[in-house]
Amino acid sequence: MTGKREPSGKADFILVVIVLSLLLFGFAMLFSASSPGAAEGGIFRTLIRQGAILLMGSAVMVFAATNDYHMYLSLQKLMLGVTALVMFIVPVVGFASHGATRQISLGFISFQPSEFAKIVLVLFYAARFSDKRTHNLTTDKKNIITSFGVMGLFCFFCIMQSHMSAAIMLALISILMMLVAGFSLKWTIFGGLGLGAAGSFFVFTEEYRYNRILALFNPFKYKQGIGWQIVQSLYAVGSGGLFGLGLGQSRQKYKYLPEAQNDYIYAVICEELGFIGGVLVILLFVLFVWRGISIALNARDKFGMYTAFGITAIVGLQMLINIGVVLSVLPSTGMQLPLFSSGGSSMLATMWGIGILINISKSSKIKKI
Amino acid sequence: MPTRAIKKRMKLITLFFLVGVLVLLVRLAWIQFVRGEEYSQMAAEQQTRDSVISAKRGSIYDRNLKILAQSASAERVTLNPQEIAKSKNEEEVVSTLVKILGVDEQNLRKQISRTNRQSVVVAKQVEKSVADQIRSEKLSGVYFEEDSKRYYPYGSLAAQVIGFTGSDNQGLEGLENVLDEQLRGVDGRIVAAKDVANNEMPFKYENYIEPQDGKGVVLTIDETIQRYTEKHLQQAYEENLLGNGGAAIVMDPNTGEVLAMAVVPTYDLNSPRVITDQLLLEQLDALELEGEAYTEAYNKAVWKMWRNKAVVDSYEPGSTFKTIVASAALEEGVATPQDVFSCSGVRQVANRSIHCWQHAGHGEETFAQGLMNSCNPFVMELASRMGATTFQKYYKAFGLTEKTGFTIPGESAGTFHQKLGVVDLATSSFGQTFTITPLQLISAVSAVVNGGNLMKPRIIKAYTDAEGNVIETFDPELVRSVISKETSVLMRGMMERVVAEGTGKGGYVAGFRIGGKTGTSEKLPRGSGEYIASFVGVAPADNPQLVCLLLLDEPHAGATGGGAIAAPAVGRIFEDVLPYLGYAPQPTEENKDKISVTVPNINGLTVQEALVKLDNMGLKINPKGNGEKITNQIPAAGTKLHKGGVVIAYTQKEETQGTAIVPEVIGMNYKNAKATIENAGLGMELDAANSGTIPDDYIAVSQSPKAKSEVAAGTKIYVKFVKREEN
Repeated sequence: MTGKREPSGKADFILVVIVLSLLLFGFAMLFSASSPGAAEGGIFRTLIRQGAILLMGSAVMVFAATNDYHMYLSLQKLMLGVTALVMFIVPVVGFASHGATRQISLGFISFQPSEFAKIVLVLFYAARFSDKRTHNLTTDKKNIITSFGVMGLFCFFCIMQSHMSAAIMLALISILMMLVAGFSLKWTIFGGLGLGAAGSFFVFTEEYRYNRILALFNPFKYKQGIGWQIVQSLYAVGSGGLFGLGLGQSRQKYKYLPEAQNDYIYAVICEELGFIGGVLVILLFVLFVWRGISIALNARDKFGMYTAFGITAIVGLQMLINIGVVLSVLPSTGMQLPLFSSGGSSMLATMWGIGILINISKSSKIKKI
Repeated sequence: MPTRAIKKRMKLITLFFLVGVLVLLVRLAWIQFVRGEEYSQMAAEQQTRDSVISAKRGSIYDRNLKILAQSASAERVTLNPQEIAKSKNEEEVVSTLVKILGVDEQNLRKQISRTNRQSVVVAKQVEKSVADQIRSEKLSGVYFEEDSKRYYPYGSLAAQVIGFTGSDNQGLEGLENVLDEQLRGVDGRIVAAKDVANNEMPFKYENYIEPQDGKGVVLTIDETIQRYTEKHLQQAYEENLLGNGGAAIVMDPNTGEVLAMAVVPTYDLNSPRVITDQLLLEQLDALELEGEAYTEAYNKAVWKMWRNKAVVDSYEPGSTFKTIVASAALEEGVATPQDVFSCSGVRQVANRSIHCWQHAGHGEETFAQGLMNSCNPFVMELASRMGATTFQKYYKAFGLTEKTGFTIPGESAGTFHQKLGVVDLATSSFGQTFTITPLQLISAVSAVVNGGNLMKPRIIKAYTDAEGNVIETFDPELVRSVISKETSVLMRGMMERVVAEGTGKGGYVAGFRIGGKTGTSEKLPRGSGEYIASFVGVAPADNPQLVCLLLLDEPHAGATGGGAIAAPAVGRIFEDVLPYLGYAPQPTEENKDKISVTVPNINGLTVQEALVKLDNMGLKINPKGNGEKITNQIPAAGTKLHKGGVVIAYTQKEETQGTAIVPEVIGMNYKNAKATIENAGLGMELDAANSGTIPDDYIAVSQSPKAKSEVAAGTKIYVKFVKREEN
């Protein structure tokens, strides 16, 4: 550790612009995608709800961006413990939603601890791997076992909640963190294989997961059943063409696409704004990743570097998986598109992470404009 | 691990990320550009609902634009099995629909169980009021669609001509079938954007095709003439216990327009699959079948009663055909009206002896008498004089070798000799060994009497638009001139004599000049004892406006001769139709008492007023009582009474309560019995055993109350008539 020093530099303006673009774009598309359902609940309810989430998110982001990220060095263990505890009790006190218990109600807002667990895990690994007392990461068996142990524990909690996508996400983030920290490829591949075996065990023991894979390869055969959302997503994207049907003109969002405002919002974007819109979204995320990685590479210390990398990886990976599902490259999971999909927990957690990234950028030696 | 190595791994992972992005971009382009067309088309298919806007089926009118068939809007009840499964109201839906629609419960449950579908049809052509009943139950998952239902205001009128439609309003029988394309119109379409739950999406599709309503069809049929024709055909059918039904056609010989076309047994177009005809039901019961065998026989009978016998079934015309042979002979000049023929009762043709129907022979007879007598050797002589070639020339010229082109499905052309030997020529001359349809015969006979022109028989007078405005009319079509006007005039005169003095006497109608020709043909195989009795009548004989052919297939009540059973029926049709067409009966010295008139309503009139009214019509009045106004009359208004008949007018109710002595009528014929009873201030009713018109050769055998009993004035006396026993 290099001691606590106030970061002196300015926040990365490019990153802020990219994030604001994503947020605005996301808000507009969410508004469009949820307009058919809004007919029942009132269009303003959607606006107010998402506006409130954005407001809260912004507050969290500004707080994180203006408070030195080093405070997490001392907080991370406490946060890890609390998150683990909450995730453990979610199946007990949480309420069922979409057939799986993965949320916890705080009265006014339901909240999904696994979303925050991603950031907390990143902070945990970043703190651990940047600790100078840990001399040789690759040979310290205790370190290896602890790293994999924490990962396994969180994945186990997610699986207990039948939340495969979160488990996969947490595992991938953990492995990426370990990989950059210098864990041997052999170990990581070993861990990956174990994970894959466990994964396939869960896939083949749960019929619906197996069916999702089956549907991926021949969606039209199962159009009326398990292939439904894949087919509907392909219809939406395919209908877009180069320029799309125009903002607000998606037909597929009229309940053909399940969760048009959530997991399949990217399909609505492609239908309404075409290839141009679809590429624009991907491009914004690529820019984000470029900025995030640059901040990491130029971070003032290893903790900042690991943290910046982890947060960037969370956003980038989720984007890859979500869009991969929409374009039926991957089997369907419950992965959301960061900053686009509706859902408070994902938005708050992501904005918290981005706030931390902005804070890191202040002391990062990247070129700023 | 050195920071440099960490950075290297970060860059490597970023590279993997970029590869992933590249995969996504390629995939995105593939979906949108390579498969885009296909996917967007499939998407459009699921997002749009093609709703059909049904064209309104055209109405069918009689020649005076009375509506014979029309469509009214109805509804179609459908279910959404998915929704019913979701809202778990199957029991409620089933009990309600079974109760209100009377649908089969098992079948309904089967339909509800088809949860892979979003819409199944439960009932079509449901009337609005019934649909409203279901609607008021507010069942989720039950929907209504627009439909229409065909109504036939006159029920069974011209059933086999008009035909009917099926559950999808497609024409199944008769003109409904053959004119389906014109009546149906062209359905319109509207393409609407619908979401998963079938609710409209706020997108406009320009695809709207307006429906073109079907044309209306105006028939040449006259509802009134049709009704009269059916009434008398039905009476003949019941009286003669026809085993194979009957048919009658009334045609305007000058235009070929069919004014009436009736077939018995008949059915109600509003429920075409139900047999209501008593005789037919009795015949079915007599088969003593049960279960499926009965159903099969029932269905066969249903199909048979749908057949338009007048057009579809060909038969041996028998002696009615002699009019054709006679006109050909006169036209060819092989015989003149002055020629005298001789009939010994048999004629030798080649090596065969062919008998006259009257085995004793007719002796010496003129041309007209030969026809009057319906003499077989007479027509054989005519045929042999003209020879086979000429015979066949006329046979063909009268249109007997080809279909008439009439607008009825399944018209037949009959069978005829390609080569005619002498024996065939001889038998053909009196209407045997070949078959034609009734429509062919009436068309040919029309040509015989209308001045010699074979007109194409027609049933369609005009087409109208959906509002009933005539948009296309059809003019009479001359097929060809067959005989000269002179020959035609000669034939009219001779056919009139057939009715006045010959075998066709039964067709006589007092006050009118009626011509005609009888026909009785034994059905094949010969010796079966089954006959077709027919009569073709012409009225008025001096200026033919109506030709009526009536045939009775397999009479089973004793008489089988066309003159005995078919001619009177045609006479009764003429008796009703001629006054309707404005022909007043012309009284002559001999027939003035036989001309019948319709008794007017004189209730409420004073005796003096009634006297004037009745006198104008040639009726007498017999006032009873001493009141001011007439309160009751016998016979009732609307009944037929011969000229000079008496109408009893009661001027006070109390008076009618007076008593009268019942007269003795046993042994009297119908007319005398009726007159005697009515003169006594009583009314005559037929016994339950009798129905319709009682022929003159029937006599009263019992009466109730008995003669000489004292009863209240106006009491009905029930009299039973049976055919006089001939010794």
